[in-house]
Amino acid sequence: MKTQNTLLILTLWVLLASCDKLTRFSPYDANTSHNNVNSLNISEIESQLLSNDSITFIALSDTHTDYSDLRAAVTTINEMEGISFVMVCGDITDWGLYNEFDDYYHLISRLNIPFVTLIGNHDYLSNGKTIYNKMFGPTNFYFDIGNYRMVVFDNVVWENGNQAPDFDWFQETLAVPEGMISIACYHIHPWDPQLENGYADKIKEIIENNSVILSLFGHGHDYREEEINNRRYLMVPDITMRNMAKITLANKAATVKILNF
Amino acid sequence: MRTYYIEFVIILVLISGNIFASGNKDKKLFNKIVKPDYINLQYAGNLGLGSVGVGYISENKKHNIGLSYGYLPESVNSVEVHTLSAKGAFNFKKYKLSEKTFVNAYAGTNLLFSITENTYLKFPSYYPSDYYFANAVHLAPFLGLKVGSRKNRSKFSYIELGTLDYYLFNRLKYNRTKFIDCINLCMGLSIPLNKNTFPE
Repeated sequence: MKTQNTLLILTLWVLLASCDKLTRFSPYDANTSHNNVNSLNISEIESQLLSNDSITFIALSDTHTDYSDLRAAVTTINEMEGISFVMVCGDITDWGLYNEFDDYYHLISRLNIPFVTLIGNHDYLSNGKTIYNKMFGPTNFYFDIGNYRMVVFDNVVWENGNQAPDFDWFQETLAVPEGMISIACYHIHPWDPQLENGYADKIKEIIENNSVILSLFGHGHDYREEEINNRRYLMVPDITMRNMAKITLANKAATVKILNF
Repeated sequence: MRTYYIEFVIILVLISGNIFASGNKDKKLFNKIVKPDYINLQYAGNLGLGSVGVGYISENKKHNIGLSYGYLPESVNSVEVHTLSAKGAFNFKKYKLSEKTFVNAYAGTNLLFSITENTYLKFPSYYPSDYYFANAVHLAPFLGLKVGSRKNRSKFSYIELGTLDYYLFNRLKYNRTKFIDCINLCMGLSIPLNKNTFPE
């Protein structure tokens, strides 16, 4: 019997060890198998040649765990032509759990064009920031496509320990060489209470001091477009509204079209 | 959050009532509480890389409750998680593999409380009230099999197939085909502290 028990335990142990997918240590684990997803996708974007200094991309936001809507968005985008990449403006999870990050990746990676994902407040919850860093990379980053600079700025405050965003980085990164213009992407919109204590004004001030033709953000779960002090601000609708923003950059200007899917 | 507390209290009352009500004398109840019926060691299963705990078996040996502490060290996947668990289970089927070996099938749930980054029972005061639900507690239902020897009553092994309330809800809500994504396996070893409380 002793031998039988030992064999049983050994068999179970081998079974567990071989079924990595079935062995979960904690819902708060950061056991993700995908790494540096943003930088890999950005390399693909940067390798694209611009025709006539023009580029078109799609912006989605607040996908959370609304997987049927995300699946429909991916199918729609894959049927479109002339789109260079997809920008997802944060909140890809509800609770920042690695299962949610994996589910998101499983669906968004079905796109046949590159995608870039920025962090949202929900993605910070639990160990979400660690998972985001492992899976996608740093939360503040930028990339250049021709004469356009996409600046992805992490402006989450409460879920980041009530810390101020890195405004110095934002200011320095938006200071592009002459002839270039920028598009600022962040998750928390400027009208949200978590940016009330002067942070929203600081963001707008930095944007106004630099050549930013468009600011993209989510978080509001609605569509909103405003022009403030000659700068354009676009709240990308959440995925459950079955809307996406098609943005074309050409001649140093941005054209926005909201598409239903 | 209030919902989780109510669930926790209901589970404890139901299970502990069944287990402790049989000991109608105060001394017997006290002894039952301070002298657990078994200790157990577990690998994986939402409680951490490993966990240790104590358990109590009802007099009719059909129900048991347990308390465990689990730990996931940072060296495994870059995050450290401490987990406390209250477990309730009931045996619903007995199998007799041989004269020497018994197998019991059981079902139950863990109520998990975890301590790690950005995980709270009550969120800090700078959040508006009711901005988020508490994200530090979860129910983790499971089905299990315990296997042991009737002769050598010093230990028995168990394996559990479990899930998490939130994963299960999402899979039911979105009808994902890969059910495997929301289940997990764990295994453990229980050591009865006296032979009268052996499950067989």
